[in-house]
Amino acid sequence: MRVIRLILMLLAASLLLCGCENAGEAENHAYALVLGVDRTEEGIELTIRIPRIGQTQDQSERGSAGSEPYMTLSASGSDYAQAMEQLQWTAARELNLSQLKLIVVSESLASDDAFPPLIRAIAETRHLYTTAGFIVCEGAARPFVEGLETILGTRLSSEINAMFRHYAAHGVIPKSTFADLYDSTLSPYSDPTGILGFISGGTRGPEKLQPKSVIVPRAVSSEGGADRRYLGTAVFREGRLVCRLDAADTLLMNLISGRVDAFTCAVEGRMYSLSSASRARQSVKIDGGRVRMEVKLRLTSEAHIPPEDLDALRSALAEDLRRVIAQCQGLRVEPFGFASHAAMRFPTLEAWEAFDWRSRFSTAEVRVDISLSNPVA
Amino acid sequence: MRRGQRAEVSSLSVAMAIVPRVFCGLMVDTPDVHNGAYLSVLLGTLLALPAVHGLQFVAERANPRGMRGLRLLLAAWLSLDAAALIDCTAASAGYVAFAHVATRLLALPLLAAALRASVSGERTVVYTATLLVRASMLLLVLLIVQQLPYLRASWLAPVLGFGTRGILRAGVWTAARMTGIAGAFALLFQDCQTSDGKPRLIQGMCLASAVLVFLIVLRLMMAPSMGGDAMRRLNRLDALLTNGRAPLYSQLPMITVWFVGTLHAICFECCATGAMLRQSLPALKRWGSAILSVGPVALLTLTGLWKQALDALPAGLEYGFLLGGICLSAAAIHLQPGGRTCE
Repeated sequence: MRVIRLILMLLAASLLLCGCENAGEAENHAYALVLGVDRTEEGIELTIRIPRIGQTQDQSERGSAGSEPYMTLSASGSDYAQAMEQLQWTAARELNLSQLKLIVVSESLASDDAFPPLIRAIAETRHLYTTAGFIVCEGAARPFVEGLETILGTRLSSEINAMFRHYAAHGVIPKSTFADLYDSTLSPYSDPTGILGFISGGTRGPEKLQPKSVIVPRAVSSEGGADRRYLGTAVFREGRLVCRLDAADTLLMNLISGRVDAFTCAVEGRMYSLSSASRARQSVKIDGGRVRMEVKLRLTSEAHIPPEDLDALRSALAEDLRRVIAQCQGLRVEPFGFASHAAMRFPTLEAWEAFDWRSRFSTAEVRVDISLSNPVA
Repeated sequence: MRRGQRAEVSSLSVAMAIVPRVFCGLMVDTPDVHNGAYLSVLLGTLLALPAVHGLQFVAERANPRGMRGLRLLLAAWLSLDAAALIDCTAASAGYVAFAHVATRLLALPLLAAALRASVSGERTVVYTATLLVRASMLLLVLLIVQQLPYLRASWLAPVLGFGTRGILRAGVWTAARMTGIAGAFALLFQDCQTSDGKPRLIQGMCLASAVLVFLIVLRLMMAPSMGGDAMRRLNRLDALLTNGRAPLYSQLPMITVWFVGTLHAICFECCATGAMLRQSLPALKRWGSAILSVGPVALLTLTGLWKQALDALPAGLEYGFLLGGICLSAAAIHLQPGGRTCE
């Protein structure tokens, strides 16, 4: 009797094993690694890059038609929802957005008034992996996505991860995911950023003059290397792109935010490698409505710097940091993280929002304090 | 089980029953409290401690027949609360995986689990808590280690969040939950025992309060405060369970801890309801009390009536009813002399 009861209970419990209901073969899913979003005459165009599962390295190297390891699919619609539904049909498989590595948006769309509601629509797409990197590309998104290929590795996903780690380590791109864009657009703190992407050898690229102190890579030719480059920052305000910072200004922005450990500086043609002795410290003082922001950097040099160069380097770096902050103040965008420090001085979110941080930031006094020392002998 | 071990189990069991329920309510169903949620927990604990202490005092001294009214009041309240928790857990399951299934259908397996737990009895459920705590602790440590690079302390500011009104309202809501759940422990385990064997409710509530503050602070550091439509349940579930900042592999421990915790809280509330019905009506057998306890919960969940009932009953009134019940029972000690006699 007891055995019968046990069997009946197990049978009843097995009816509740619904977790395997949606099980399926990997080949039955279209795993999108990159999602491109662009505006067309019809409305919105979505482009995805998906791997051909089961494609071997030999088959792709043979280069025959249909043997490419990745394929690109596009679909258009009058709005995002319609375009996404069309994409589901185009994929002819269960479209799976949970493995996204990149979300690429064209610069023209990012600057448009239609982009803020689109951010929310993308973020609320079911099971879309919002921690994917967020790229704003020059030109259209579709050609940018189509050209994404593996260079050194065998998988596009690991290729993308390796590239971003490399660029982020040098401080020339912000650490920006789509989730950061969504959260920061809706939250009352600092303004969000995106990574600027461009095609090497194209008509545009980072063209600003080098600032005085930091040394960063410029655009390079695409021969023998990746032709999709990521250098610089797209700064957003209220969900729209309002400002582009080149690689050098991005490095300076990352220095202020405490996200750079080591970088190269130059003074009168002589180059020095510097590293952060400790994380950059930001402070915000509010005195009767007037805001004073301060950034403190403690840097050390890897090699000995003569005293005259030490002072010159310190003042050149401070001037560049003030210039970047002033540039953002003029555009009323704040991507450095000062807002979080200022918000601590307010008891409620209502009081903080009433303070109108963006206006106060644009007229704030800025102080940069750099301590630069030689290595201990 | 040794006598000393029973008391130790009770502290963890009290905490394990309170934490998931309060955390779920504050982080998913209470949009206007965000940054101030941990203050609500502290306030709720301060309000609940004297109420529960009073209840324990009454439970030790009152005639069991005189406690019948309080038990039935608490059983009814726990049924309503269990229905609310089942709805939240079913919605979570729908968000994570079963988008194409109606929320009410997703509640069915939870009701089945609650029925089984109710048949097993309150001591089994309470002892299970100690096993679940160990599993949850391991996953929680893993979760924290994975989330650490993405946590930002600056998102804790401003500390009062959306304002003091929301904190007060959520504080009273928390007090009602703590009083109800800890009160159920007091009534269920009021057997004649030495002080070693008494359930350590106050310790359990303090432990629950500390764990809640810790978890809420962690959660607040995972995503920034957002207003307006972003505070919809869907977005709050997303920020909590999938957190668009951490890697994909870290979602599994988060989701596991969430469902383990809420399922245990559901089982306890349904089980406690059944046990209190049996104490009030000794003629009821175990299966009968289980059906009588889970039946109304199923009705409230599947018809959606729990929402209308809770909307009609503000948090202050819930707490007021429970407090009123405790005070009336305290008065009944004098009206029905004789008190408790140990067998």
